[in-house]
Amino acid sequence: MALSESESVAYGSLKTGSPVQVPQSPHYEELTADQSISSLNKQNSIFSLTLDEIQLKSGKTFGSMNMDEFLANLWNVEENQVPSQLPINDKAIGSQPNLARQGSLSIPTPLCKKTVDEVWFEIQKDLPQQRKANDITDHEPPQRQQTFGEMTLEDFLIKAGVVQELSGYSEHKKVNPVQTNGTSLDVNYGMGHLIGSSQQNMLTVPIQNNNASMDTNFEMAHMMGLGFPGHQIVANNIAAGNGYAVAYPIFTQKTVMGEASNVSGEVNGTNSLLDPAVPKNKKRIIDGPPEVAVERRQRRLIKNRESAARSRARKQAYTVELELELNQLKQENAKLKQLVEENEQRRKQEVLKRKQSTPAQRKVVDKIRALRRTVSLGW
Amino acid sequence: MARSVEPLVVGRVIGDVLDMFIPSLEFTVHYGTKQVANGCDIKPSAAADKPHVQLLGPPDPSCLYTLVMVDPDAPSPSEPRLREWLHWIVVDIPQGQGAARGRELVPYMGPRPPTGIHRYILALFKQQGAISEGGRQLADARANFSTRQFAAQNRLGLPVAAVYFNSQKEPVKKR
Repeated sequence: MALSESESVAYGSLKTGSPVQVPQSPHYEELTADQSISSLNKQNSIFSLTLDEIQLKSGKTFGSMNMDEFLANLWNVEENQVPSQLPINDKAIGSQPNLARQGSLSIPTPLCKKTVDEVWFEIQKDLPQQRKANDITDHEPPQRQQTFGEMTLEDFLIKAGVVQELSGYSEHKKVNPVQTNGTSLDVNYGMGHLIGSSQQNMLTVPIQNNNASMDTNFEMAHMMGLGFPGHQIVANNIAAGNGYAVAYPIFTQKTVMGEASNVSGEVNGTNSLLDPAVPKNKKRIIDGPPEVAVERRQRRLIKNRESAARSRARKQAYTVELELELNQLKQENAKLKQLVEENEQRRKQEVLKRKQSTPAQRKVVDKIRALRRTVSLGW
Repeated sequence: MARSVEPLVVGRVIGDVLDMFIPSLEFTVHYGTKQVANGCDIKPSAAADKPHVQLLGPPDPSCLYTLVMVDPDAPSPSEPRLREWLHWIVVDIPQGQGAARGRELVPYMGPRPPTGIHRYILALFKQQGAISEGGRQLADARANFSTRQFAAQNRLGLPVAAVYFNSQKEPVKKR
């Protein structure tokens, strides 16, 4: 079943207009020009299911699963569901598994590695941004479901970046969005990871929202400073919400974690920081010294590491060469010594023979030798 | 028996410049009295003049060999933009003879490493026939040479032997 595809189709038509709104299932009917429209109705069912229901159906908890496990489970759940639900021609059904698999293949790698919990966290962080400019509280936006369980599958997948927008579908989908989403999630991952680890329970919403919102804002403000290389942001909600946070390309996890640790350590302190920063969130792009310096440090580290590796390789190569030469010389030496020994032995034999032979025989041998000598002295 | 290529692999000569090969010939390279062993260090001043290259094995005038000397770490090992820098090409070296018996397609240029420690690789190939002319062009444009490409163009195949040494800029002593 074309889970991601149909979803993206669904959202594609919606998203271009409204950056922030969550598409609800009724929007599906608006779709046109897509083969899988008929299947969408069927998809409706699983998409509009809340994650709670899906969890129930599959009988597992998704929280700590990795994203790809999560999706695999989705396919299973959906497959179980589908036959019972809508009357769709077998073709549609048959084609879906392929589409679904394609969809799953386009998940950016960083995303796959995350657990569902972490992705959820990031989603959580996004929400407050889209809502308000100045007011950062854990106010609950009416449209969004705050708890993991209550969010619909479609929302979750969109926010997670698994599903992407698709007008100009085939081109956009594979290339840019994957990159940007992967990047954004990379960045968020660092943050989310730390925060998630300090707060394990996903379902205590208020606390999480607090942290999430403040952290998000801090991160947003921070991200502003990173420079915004104008990545093409295609994923809808994510784009709107943390689009600015998304695009920093080289920001390594390590650095983010470093920053994030400051954040979690100074949760209260950031509060005051955030208020003045927040209003400018969406417009400001700072290419300030701190970030550039970090990048420079990174580059230097890498260069240094490579240089060290080369140096080690050099040293090792020479050592290997010398060892080989040593072995070779030892062998040669052994052979030569053996030859010498053998020659020695032969000489000794000769001498012994000479002694044993009678004087008469000696005379003969000497004469022959002398003759030989004479001959050799001929000219 | 021919030596193992392990030093060439560890030193990344096989990989950066040459492809994996099985040595089938031995040859020696001497800068003065110093013989080049894989990975040894030779000062640029000591390598300013062309070395004595001697092919070992039974003399055979029908088997001709090509010698190529390149520096894959130009201008700097951390940023080898000019890989490979061509230093020397000698063709038509008869088996069992020295490189002096061959024809210098590209005149010898000694190591002049501006930054870092460079590897200088001498690779020997067996010729299938005559080597295509183009020495002058090669001499003018020593930068971004490709040994692999040169070997392919002249049907040299894989190397039959190779050796390399390291060299770095000598500190200038002011007295």
